[in-house]
Amino acid sequence: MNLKARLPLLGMTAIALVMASGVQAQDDEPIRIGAAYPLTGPAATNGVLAALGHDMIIDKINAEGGILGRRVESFTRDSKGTPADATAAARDLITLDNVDFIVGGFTSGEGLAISEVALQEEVIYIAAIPKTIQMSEDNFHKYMFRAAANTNTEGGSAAIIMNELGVKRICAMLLDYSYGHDLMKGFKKHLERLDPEAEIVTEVWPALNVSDYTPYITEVMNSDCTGVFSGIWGGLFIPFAKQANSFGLFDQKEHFVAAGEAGSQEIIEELGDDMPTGIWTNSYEVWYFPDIEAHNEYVEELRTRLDNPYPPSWPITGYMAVQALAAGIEAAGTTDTEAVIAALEGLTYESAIGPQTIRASDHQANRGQFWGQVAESDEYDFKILDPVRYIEADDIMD
Amino acid sequence: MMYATIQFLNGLSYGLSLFLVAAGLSIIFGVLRVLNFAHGTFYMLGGYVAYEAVSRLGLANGGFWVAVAVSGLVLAALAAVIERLMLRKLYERDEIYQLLFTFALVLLISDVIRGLWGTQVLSISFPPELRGAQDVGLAFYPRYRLFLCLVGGAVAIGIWFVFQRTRWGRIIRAATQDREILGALGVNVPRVYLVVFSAGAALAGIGGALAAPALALKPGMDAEIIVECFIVVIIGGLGSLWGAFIGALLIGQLRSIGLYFVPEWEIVLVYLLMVAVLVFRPWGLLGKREGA
Repeated sequence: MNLKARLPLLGMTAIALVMASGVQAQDDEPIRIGAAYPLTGPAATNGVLAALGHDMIIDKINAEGGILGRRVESFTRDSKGTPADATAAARDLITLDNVDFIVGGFTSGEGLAISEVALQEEVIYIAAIPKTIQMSEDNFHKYMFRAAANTNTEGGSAAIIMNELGVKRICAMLLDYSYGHDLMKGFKKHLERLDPEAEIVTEVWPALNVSDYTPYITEVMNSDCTGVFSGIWGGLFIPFAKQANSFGLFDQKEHFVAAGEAGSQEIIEELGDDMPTGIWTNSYEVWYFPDIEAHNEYVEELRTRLDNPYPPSWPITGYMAVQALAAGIEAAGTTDTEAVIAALEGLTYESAIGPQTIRASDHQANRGQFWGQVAESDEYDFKILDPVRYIEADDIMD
Repeated sequence: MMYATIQFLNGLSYGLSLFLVAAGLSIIFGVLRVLNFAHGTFYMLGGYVAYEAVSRLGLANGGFWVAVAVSGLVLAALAAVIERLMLRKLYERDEIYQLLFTFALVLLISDVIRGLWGTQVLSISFPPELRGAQDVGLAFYPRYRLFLCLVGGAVAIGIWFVFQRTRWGRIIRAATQDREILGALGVNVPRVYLVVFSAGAALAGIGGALAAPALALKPGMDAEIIVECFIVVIIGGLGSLWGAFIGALLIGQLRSIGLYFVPEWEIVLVYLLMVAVLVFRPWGLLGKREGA
């Protein structure tokens, strides 16, 4: 074989060698994870905390040797609470930061927007906070996974509480946008299943941006319902509770079931005495529950980072989204998108609140709901959830 | 009957608190001919200033009332500086410059608020003397909201008195009619503008401070109130004080009584009324037809 004839062979060998070394180099390169959370704008109070949880788990993973022995590099961009900005953030993460995976999202609109980018760019997206059922039904695609609960689970768990309280005539007060309507759908569906006799006698739908709930409160008080189901979420519960207190709503109605994480530590503390004792409400977790090792370890780290012995509930959302992703990559043994999708489907993994399983059919984690009854506390100068319990999601995800 | 009464009072107290803010907007437009986009932001700032004052002074021993007064004064002072140093240079320019300027104020002030107080929902407790409910004959009603009705009514009468019975009121009314003649008569027109702009802003600030216990403080509350105020003045007639009064009361009642009778439509009713006014009486119920 003369030299001329051997040249192509040499060239091919050279290319093969370069490619092999390239693969070798890629294995040592960090795994790039992008996070999109609202860091400015009205949603930033909670978005910044979710991003903090994200950073905490990334640091923990790297301290423990990374994923598949590779370091994790994280990029966070501001989704500003709007679908348009969330789209831009997701695109920039993929095209400018070259991330392999995306986590995050806050509002339902953001979740749907990021999910759309994930589909177009064929990148795995793990939804951390958005609950709208539309993401896993009409707009479902294989790149979308959800570590957060969905609106069926939240509404369904509220229906379980309402049913246990034995309420037959119910008033509903939900916010007039997608989250409120989806939540109502989940609540109704499971209430019918649990107790066909229970009836929703009055529905009021305040707009998302209203700050005066009094006409709606009056309507509910005018109704002969004995229990109220509300979805006035997060900080919006603060003005609502104060107004409802001044009218005596919580005294007039025997039972009150408040979805939308009104039981979060930060809301309870901000409301102080105005936090209505005796109502049932949910939270992503509370720092005193669940009392398991993984959660206690998480709470300790969060206490140190925030220098606050009674830390807020939002960081766990960002924390758990990365836990799902990391488990998926570990199980796949590679960062290849198709392989990680296959690994995540049906995967059971350890999270800060205990084991979670992602079902294959709609990529939804069986994330349950923490519900508790607001009670006075002898120990702290704020109210607590007591009793508090975890309602499993497996039967109420649809 | 009892609940109809309560819904009526809900609408009345909401409408009268809305009037506090819309009145300032309407007077400023009447005299300065400036549509003040930042009026809702003044309202929001008033609420946050009151929050700050209450968290320093405490609620007891009249701390809340001091906080309300502080809000009014801070807003009056801020508005005086804005008028004197900036807005004054724009009167002779095209209206679009004034709009852009007041819109810039919206962005600027809301970012300052975000920087100082963050984005979480904040709230002030009810002042101790106004907690609880009062028997109003047909029903029990929260004292604080009854108090809001009284304040709104008192401010309306107060403004009426100043406008109709004092020298300043005559000058302000004259300024809305013809500022050039007024200047020729030896009145210091720039000073009238300064006082009116400050007084309007102070009303907005006091409105925000008084609303803080009943509602809550959060980013975006400025946009919410300015939209309502624009609807009020569109319905009532831009620049007309009594128009603002009637517009505010109508909106309050449409929202609450509307919910009582047609629960699915309560939000639409307000906009339907606005559209009807725009179609059949574009100058507003009590406004003056331009050029007439």
